[in-house]
Amino acid sequence: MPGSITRYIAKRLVFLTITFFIVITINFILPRLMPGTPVDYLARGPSLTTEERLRLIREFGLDKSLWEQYILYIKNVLRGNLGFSYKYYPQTVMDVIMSRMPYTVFLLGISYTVATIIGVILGAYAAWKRNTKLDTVLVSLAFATRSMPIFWLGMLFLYFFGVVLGWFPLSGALTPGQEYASTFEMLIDLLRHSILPMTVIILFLIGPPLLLTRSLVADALTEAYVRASMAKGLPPRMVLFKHALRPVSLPLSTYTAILLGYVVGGAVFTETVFNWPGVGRLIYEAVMRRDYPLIQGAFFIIAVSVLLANFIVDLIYAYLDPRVRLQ
Amino acid sequence: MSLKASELVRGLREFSIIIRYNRKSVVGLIIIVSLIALALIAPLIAPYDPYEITGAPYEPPSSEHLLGTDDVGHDILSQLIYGSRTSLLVGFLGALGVVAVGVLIGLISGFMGGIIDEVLMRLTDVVLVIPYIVFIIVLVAYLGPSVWNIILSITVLGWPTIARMVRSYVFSIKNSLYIEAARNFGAGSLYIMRKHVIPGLIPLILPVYVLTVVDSILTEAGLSFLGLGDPTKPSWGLLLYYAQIRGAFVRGMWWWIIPPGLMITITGLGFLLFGSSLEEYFNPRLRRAGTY
Repeated sequence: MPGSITRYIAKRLVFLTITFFIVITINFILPRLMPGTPVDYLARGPSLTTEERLRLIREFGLDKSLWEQYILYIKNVLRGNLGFSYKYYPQTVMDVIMSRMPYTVFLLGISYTVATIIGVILGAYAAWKRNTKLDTVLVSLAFATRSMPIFWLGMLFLYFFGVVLGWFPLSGALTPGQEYASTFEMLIDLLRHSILPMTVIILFLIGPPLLLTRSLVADALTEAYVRASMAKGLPPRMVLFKHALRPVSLPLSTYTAILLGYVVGGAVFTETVFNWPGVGRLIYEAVMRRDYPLIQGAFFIIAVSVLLANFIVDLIYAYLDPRVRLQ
Repeated sequence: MSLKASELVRGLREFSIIIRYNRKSVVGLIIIVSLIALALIAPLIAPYDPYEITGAPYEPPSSEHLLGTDDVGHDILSQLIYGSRTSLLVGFLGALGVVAVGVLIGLISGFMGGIIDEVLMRLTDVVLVIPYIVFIIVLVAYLGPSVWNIILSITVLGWPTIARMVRSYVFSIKNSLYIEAARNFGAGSLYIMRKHVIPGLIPLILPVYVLTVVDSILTEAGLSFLGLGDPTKPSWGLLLYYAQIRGAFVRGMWWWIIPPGLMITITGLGFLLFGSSLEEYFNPRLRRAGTY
């Protein structure tokens, strides 16, 4: 029925919008809850001239009533005006974040995809070989990475592969001051820089999909249809990946969507350790400088990105699961 | 509510079954108990005051400073030992806050139903969808880096999954016959809550509490690593923060980098093992399906 899917999408849209405004509201309220005036937090860049300071105060109406400030704040945010960064002044918060965004998307996009695929395959194998040595090793791996701080794992990698062995560069995404003869050469340099942080994020992200797939597939393997396909003489690999894994794909896709926030957390730490010029590292820099507009801006952009990603996953989910469509 | 001797005996017996049933729980428990002991007797075994200058900066390990000294000349081993206090404090109290808020909201949502339930559950969705780590960084950046602010922030942001769990538990028993029977016998809401709902919740909540301790410890370590840790209290995350920004790498000071992370990992593993074996004990289905 087309009606129910429209209603489903509308519902998700309403949720998206409400959450969007809640994030804006959090950003609005936080500096105003703290001791001191909001001007102290939002318009106190050390390098800000008095004129610019006054202009910011006017733009955000910081001398007006709270309600007017709120309306003005929403208007500004919707226009993409998140104020100026203290640290990167005269760049705006939006410009700073957008210049960093591609690096994070690159790093996370690849590691997240790879980690999910490897995690699902390993999880399926672990379920297939339940209670064998392989299973124990894989589950221990998932446990170990679950209790390990990701930044420490990053520091170990950096220390052994970067400092001791000298195989990989220690920081950044590209060699500073390097002239590239071709785009290909630049890509190679980028790859050399990204191998360590990517490996760390992948190790960090493998655990959850591995454990979930393992338990879901273990359940599926006891089902009659799996036994039937085995009795039919299908090769085990086919049974595992074509039959046992299929019903698992739906809960897995919702689950990996939930993981998005977790992924972002991993990025903050990994980028900080490897000095990766992404949004995660930017948050760290902003915190170090107590650059409040930048902290808030990064929070806003990241939250909105995750929100949108979730919304897209919801849509895909509705497309994949007839129960959502036909309800 | 007084605890009867027979209940105590039963509790102890159950506990010994958990231990005997599963070797994982023993390993976990040993780790947890040793860490608590370490935290309690920290002043007795730490060779120095963690924040007193007792050596030259950047000393390598020696008999006087087993793990060397940091950039100021503080003894690293002493900071490591005292760090267990901060980790456990935030771990236990943060998880307690999370569970308390989660149970409260779950109970209200489940029993009230209707519009209150709807509002609370949408709030749960909202908190869940906002990236936790970034949100907590923003909160602590504003509140200021102190142990109590970290615990508070963990509490404020960590409750949603537990609230959902408790709510669905309440839904599953709300209309069950034994609750209805109790009601027909004239039992009041509070009585039912105390006698039927809470006891049923404990096996659900206990493992989650232990597992939440892991998350709280990791959150504290992460915040400290980003420079949002309590500067007055030595912690493992803070040690790694200083190691990172004060050049432990270029000096090859692995003794400054490896031990703090190892402590966090071992601690996390201890609670993880104990928590997941509790989960298996209380939820036998997990044993059969072999989740862990």
